[in-house]
Amino acid sequence: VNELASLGIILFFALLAGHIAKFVRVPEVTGYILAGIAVGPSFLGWITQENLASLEVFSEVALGLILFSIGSVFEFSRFRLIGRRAGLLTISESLLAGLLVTAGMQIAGQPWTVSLLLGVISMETAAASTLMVIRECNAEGELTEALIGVIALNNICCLICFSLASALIDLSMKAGGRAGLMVALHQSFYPMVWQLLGSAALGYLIGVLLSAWASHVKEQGETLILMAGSVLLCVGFAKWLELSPLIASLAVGASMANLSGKSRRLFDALSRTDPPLYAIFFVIAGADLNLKLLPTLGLLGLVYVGGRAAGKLIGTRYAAKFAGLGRNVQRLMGFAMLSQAGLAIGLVIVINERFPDLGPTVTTIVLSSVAIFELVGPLGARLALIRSGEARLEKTAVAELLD
Amino acid sequence: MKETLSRRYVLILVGLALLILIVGGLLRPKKPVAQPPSPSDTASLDRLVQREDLRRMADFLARSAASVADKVVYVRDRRASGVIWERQGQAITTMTSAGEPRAPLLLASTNSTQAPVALAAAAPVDGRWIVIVGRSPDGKLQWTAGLGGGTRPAVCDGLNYSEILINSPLPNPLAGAGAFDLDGSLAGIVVNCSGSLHVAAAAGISSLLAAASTPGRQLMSRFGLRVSPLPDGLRPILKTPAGLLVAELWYGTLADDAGLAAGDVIVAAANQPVSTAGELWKRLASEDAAPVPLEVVRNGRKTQIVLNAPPPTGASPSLGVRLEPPPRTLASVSILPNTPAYAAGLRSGDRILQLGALRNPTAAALRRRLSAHADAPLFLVYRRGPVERAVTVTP
Repeated sequence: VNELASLGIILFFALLAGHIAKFVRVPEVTGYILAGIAVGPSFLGWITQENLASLEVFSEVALGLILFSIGSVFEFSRFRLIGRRAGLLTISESLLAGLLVTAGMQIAGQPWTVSLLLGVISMETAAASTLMVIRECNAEGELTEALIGVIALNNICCLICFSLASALIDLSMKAGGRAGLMVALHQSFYPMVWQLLGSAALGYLIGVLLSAWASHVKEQGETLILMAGSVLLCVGFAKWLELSPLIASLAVGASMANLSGKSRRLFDALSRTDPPLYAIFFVIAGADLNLKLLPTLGLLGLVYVGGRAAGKLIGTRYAAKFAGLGRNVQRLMGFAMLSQAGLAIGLVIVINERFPDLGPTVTTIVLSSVAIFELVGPLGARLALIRSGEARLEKTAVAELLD
Repeated sequence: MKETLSRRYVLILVGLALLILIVGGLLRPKKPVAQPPSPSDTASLDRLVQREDLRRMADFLARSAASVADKVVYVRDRRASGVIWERQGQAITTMTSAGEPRAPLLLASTNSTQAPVALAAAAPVDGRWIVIVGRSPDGKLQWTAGLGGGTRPAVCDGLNYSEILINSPLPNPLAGAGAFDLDGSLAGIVVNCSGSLHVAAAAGISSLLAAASTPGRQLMSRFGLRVSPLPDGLRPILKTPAGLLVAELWYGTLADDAGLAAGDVIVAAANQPVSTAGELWKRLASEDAAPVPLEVVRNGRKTQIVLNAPPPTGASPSLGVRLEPPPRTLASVSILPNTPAYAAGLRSGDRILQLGALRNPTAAALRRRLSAHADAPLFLVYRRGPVERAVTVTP
């Protein structure tokens, strides 16, 4: 099947999966992912690895757009309210998950390098699928607000921790050559600083451009072109400069939210037109999941899955209590944070390039557990939102009828 | 712009962001530039690539050889490879042993049920690959491959044929093997010409077979016998008015087993007078595998000799053990080049069995006769290796 046909297959299957998902009351994201697994190389094979490789650009753009819309939580007026709590929740759940996984791996007999890398990867929560569930449930409330804040910060936190961990491993490996300590320090820590500051700077610059232009735009079509162009520019430049497209897109969204008075309208326009792209993104993500890896999960995989889930559940519970958030947030937040995908896989690729010796173990464990979390995560998020009473599913249906 | 952020503040941040990007971009650690490979690395890589190419080529040629394996058999009673030919159960092969009357090509029966091989459309020209496939006695495939170098006319044991030149040596076990092009069609057959192997083009094989099946050739390959009409000059010496002179005879063949000798004159076969090879062959071939009585004149005396018919091809293989004839004479000669004796086929080391009517001459008798008949034609029977020949040396 060629690229265009595979794209068509993806969209039709997404449509079908979306309807079935609504019928059996699971998140659409789960439906998309299952559709992806069905048509992907794992099962039917209608979409081949080559198709997936050539469609990767859609995934990158979609992820950029998702992060861009998450960036809106950094609007000052909004972030002032939730910022401190979200920060506390993020640090608590990320660090606890990371600690539990690292400790578990150490006990299971893995070297500290592998344990540490797995620990920092386990911190990540998939922003895209979580945000999609929130949108689908049309959720609003304390839990939703906290959740959006946490998933925005979580990815930044995970990237910082990953950079620190890999810098540490880098340094320990170069410990032999004393002569070039400064060189080693530069080479080890530079990527971290560059990725954080550089991505933020790039995102800010594009955000300023976008908001300056957006104030003169009248038509909605023009708005969309402008935003799509900005996100593409941002992702493209970030990749070219070896920055983090994730943080850069987040920064574009954040700058836009703070600089443009029309930002709310722009974000709304975006969320009305981007579903096809997200459908493609999740179907591709599903097709990319390698279910054949599941049997290889083994003890280490169970330690990873268990440690991460426990860290997220316990971490959010006590941090929410400490921050004075409601019972719903304390009880349910952890369930909404189980998804794991894009960034984790991205980090695995980085590990394979930077530490080829450690790559195989990390790859097997992360890729096989991603298959579990990507299926369970959206279900957990939907459950949490419905149980908390913040989901407004019926209202959506009525609103659709009125349209 | 929202009032919470002044324009100046935004612009300062823009400047800062630009500064970060520019300075950060400049300070980025340089990625190690891939060193161009050293000449020795390139050379060893080249060698590896070439070795891999050769291995692939050898694999390909081996597969080509295997693909025609079912067309090639081992012909047990000829001790040579053979190629399934024209009819089912028939293989074409060549003579291999030096102790046998030669025939470049002959048909043998085989118990293979394979369909005959397809002939190549044209003889291979320069630079086309030929795979030569034969079988060893234990049935294992043996093959070699070489580049074809066109064809040239050649002569093998008196027969004209078209030879395919090939740049690869042909080891003896490949006698009778098939030479195939890469499409699996038969381009030629390896024939044994006076002990060396050559590839005869497949297109000429039928005519070669036909030429090899003349009565004279048949007598040679089946009975080890060559006859010629009795020259007038020899009638008084051999004391018979008509008949066929046994001009060549191979030891260990049916003619030898029957007791024939070079210099004998066959007067009649199956009680019918014979004066040509064709007549003799007709008598011998018409008696279905039954012994044929021959009337032979030797030293002026008539004797009866019974010649057994050859076994059908494909019969039990001979052991290859042969009784050497008793040394009938010790008189060996030394022949100078460019002399009448040399022209008649005599060579140094040949042993003289008969001179005129004198059988088994001693060295002294030989010397006397030679000096006395220096200017007259001389009838000689000599032996060289496994063969006896009768010749007339004309000064």
